Amino acid sequence: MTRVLLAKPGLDGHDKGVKVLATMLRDAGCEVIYTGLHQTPERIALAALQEDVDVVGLSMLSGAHMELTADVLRELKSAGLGDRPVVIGGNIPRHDIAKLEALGVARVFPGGSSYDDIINWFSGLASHRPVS
Amino acid sequence: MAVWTSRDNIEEFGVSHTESGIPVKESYSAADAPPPAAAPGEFPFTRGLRPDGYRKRPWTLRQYAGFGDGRDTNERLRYLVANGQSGLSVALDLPTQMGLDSDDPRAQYEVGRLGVAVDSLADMEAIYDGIPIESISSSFTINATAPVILAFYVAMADRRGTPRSELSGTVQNDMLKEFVARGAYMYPPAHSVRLCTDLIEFCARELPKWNPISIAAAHMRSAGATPVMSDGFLFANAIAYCEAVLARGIAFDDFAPQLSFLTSAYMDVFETAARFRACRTVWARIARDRFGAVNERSMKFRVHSGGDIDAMTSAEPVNNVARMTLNAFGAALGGIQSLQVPCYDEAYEIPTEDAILNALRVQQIVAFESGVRHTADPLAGSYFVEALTAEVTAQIEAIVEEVTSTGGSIAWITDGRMQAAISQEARSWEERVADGREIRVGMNSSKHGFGGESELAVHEFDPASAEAQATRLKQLRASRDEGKARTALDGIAHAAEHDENVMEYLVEAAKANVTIGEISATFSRVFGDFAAPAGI
Repeated sequence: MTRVLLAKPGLDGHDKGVKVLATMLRDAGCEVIYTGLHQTPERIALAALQEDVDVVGLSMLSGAHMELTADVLRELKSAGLGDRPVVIGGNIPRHDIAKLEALGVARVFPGGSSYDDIINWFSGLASHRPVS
Repeated sequence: MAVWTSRDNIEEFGVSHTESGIPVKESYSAADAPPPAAAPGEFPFTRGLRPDGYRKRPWTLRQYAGFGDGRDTNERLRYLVANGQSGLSVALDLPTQMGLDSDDPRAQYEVGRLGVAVDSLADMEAIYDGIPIESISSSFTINATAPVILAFYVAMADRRGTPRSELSGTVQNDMLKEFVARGAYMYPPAHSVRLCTDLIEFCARELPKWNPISIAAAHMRSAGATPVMSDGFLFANAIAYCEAVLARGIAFDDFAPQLSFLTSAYMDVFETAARFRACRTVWARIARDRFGAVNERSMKFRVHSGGDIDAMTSAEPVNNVARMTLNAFGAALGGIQSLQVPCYDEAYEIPTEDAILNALRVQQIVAFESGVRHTADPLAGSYFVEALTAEVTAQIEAIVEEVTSTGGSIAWITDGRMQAAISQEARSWEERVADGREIRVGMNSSKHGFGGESELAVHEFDPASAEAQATRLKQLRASRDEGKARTALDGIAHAAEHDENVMEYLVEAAKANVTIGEISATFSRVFGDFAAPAGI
């Protein structure tokens, strides 16, 4: 079963989208951990480590996604989780998608993306844990 | 069993329903409409607050503006006033909303991005340079730090020699909805409401023309609630605030006339008009019957309306101008007092100067070209709108009864019941948009064709402005009288601990160049921090 960490970095408090996604992923059979609002990159990496997740999803609507994403990727790497895919959602201008991918982001779902596409993407991920 | 109409069971009603999921019949007749409402200007004000509607003057045209530093925002505000805007609405950046100074590491990347950075009195003075605060009203979308922002404004007025009694404007100061939507909260609900109440009490004594709170539904709608559900929770929250102020021994009629409200116009024009008519009716009854108001002004639901920001599409953004126009027209038919509409580039960034001017022009076209102002409450007597008004009124009152009879808003928010109800509606709405049952033209309906993204010129954030703001702040701290600043902060801590009204202490601190981050850290030490249940 895919374990998903959904996180809200920074000061932005808009979490309708991430909460809707959390319930849809849960219904699709994922295990979902949602951090809640106002998380620092350090706390997100710590949560990813403690929960041993397969994938980290970041939701950002404040416009600070380039900087916050770079910080989260750095913290994940230093926690030894550089192999876990990071996916971004929220208010992301189209011209930032390639830049985020160049930073090492696995996939970007900007505003207006279909929930079906997002769920399919998560469902296609393999768990990094061996099947017991 | 919920008492509101949920979108989950829309299909049972057939194809026609309002935006909140209220079933709509093929046609309406006199048999569907309730008895005629009292005339405009008469209790319960269903048909409007004034007998003459907008004939003498239109609503206050107020677009939301602010970015970068005080000087950037001052320029933008003056530009809007020069183009006919009749009230100001200042957007503050996220660090200011969250009580963080511009040089705080947690504020990094966000200073001046979504609004203007206000760290100290100096920033407030820069925003208002050359703007006559005795003659133009200002609205601040500020909640957790509302007492601080109002203190900066009052300190500015004191320094200018403007009498406090002449200041008119609004601070949002509605913390309860921050826990269920929008998320700009710091302290636990009870302490947060205590600060809201300090501000309301201070205004009742010192700022007779100021609206000390704008009790808001719009953010709950953005978080997923149906429009009608958001209105229901608005009144449940309003009752919680009133009870908190009454508990201080202040009579209802001594503060209620200055309470103001925020609920928005959405795409369904008829439901929008019916909702504003219903909200006026509900508030008039709550004020008179629940709180024993005698003063008629206490019974008047004075409302600022926004538009449907969540309906603004990134696909073919020019289409949003049509949506904005419908929002403005619906709000005007509903008889609102103040209006902002979204901007066509809303789905991309905070607005450019062109986009915000266009939004103001949309309002002006509705106000001065459409004829909507010729007579009060033009939809009165429409079988459909009257029936809808009655239904919306009944649903809002049922929600208020449900919440207040089961612990009230603070309990519903602390244990996550309100969040859960909203989250459930959010999901059902997103599913309806996803599969095209709710149509967004150009975006989600193959029948109407898909629009493309646009290469709009969008607002560009300037990181240099954020650095300059942090540098100025450091200079301010280095040059102030440190002893005076410390004494002011000690006074705030003492008042916070001993349930004394903090407002005058905050005004003194503002004059001693104490910063918003220092004040908020002081409150945090006394009140503690809080994480609201997500409700999922």
